Amino acid sequence: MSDLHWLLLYLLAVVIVSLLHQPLWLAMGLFLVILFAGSIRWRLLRKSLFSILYFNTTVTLGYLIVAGMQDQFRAEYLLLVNCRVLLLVMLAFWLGARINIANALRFSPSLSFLTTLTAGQFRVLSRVVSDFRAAFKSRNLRRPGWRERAQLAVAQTEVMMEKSHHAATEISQAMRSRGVFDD
Amino acid sequence: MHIPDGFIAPQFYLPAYLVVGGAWMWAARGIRRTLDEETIPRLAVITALAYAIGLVMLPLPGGTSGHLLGIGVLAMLFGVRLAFLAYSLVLLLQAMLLGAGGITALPVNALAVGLVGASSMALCIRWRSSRYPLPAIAVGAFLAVVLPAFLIALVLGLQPIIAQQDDGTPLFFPFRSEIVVPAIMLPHLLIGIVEAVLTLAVWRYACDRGWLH
Repeated sequence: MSDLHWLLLYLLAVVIVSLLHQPLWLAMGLFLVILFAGSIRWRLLRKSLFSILYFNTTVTLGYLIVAGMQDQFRAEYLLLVNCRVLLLVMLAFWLGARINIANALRFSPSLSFLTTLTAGQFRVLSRVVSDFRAAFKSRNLRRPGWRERAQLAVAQTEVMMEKSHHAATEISQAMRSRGVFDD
Repeated sequence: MHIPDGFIAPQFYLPAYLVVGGAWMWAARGIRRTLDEETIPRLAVITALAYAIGLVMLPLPGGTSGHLLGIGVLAMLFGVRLAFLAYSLVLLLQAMLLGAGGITALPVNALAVGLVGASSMALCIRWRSSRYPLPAIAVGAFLAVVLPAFLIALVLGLQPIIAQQDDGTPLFFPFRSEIVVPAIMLPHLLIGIVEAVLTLAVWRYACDRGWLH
């Protein structure tokens, strides 16, 4: 199957999963994903659990408190919503690991090209942010104050804007010089 | 701020995809009929910038931090259509690659943050005074955070009403507006103020570099 077919299958699976309201079916879906994900299954599970941890813990604790106070607590709800969110996030990560998104979007050359360029720039700018953080940490022996952290945020944003401005020009010139859009 | 997968009912997200699809067509038509060697790199770089701005941590009182939303900065520099498209692509890639947000929440997040957030900033910029532009830019940046937060809170608050079992047990997000609106709005009022201050600094920098007219 092509990457586009996997993408379409994923979208169909997402709609089906969001229409299921039985925790047992969702748990079976989770079991099937874990079964068929191959050698990356535990990495997928760990990554998925980590990514939903904050929001789902907040909702779960909030529901425990609010529903408990109103005497409307249903354990099935917590099972349902946590299973559904975990399954959807695992499906997304599995798809991301299995296919190349740019390949899946090849039905539109512009969109595919845009995705490739964007993913490359993601990495460049993420590196800028992590470099800034590391440098800032190494310069401050104590926990920095509000003013220093605000200055860091402004400086990071300015550098990224500057870098983006130059990157757009460079990429454009590179594309033109290689005749990317010449038919 | 954006909602993860699994908390929005299909009764809501499927129609929302129709709405956001129309908005994407409007935005894409506005930038150019066909993407070429100038618009594609620009859009790619802006999209990456929108993503990276979200990685910048905002210091909040009490020693905690939030993260920049950046939609105000994007709208200020590139206009509503590009900012909206770029932010939508960020949401898609974040959902597919990072598990942040999600494909079912994407239309709501894109419309609230990408379109409403960018439009509120653009409107404030349009109405700014040429002598004293700072208040309008600060208000625009503040509204670009607070209005999307309010809309997302309302959407979440609707979920237990539109999707519940016969006994009233929710099927998706469990809290109604009276709980979720204050819970989301209070921290975002603070984030909005800090984002407004930082947007002013970025605006000054962009003016010095000649990127704004």
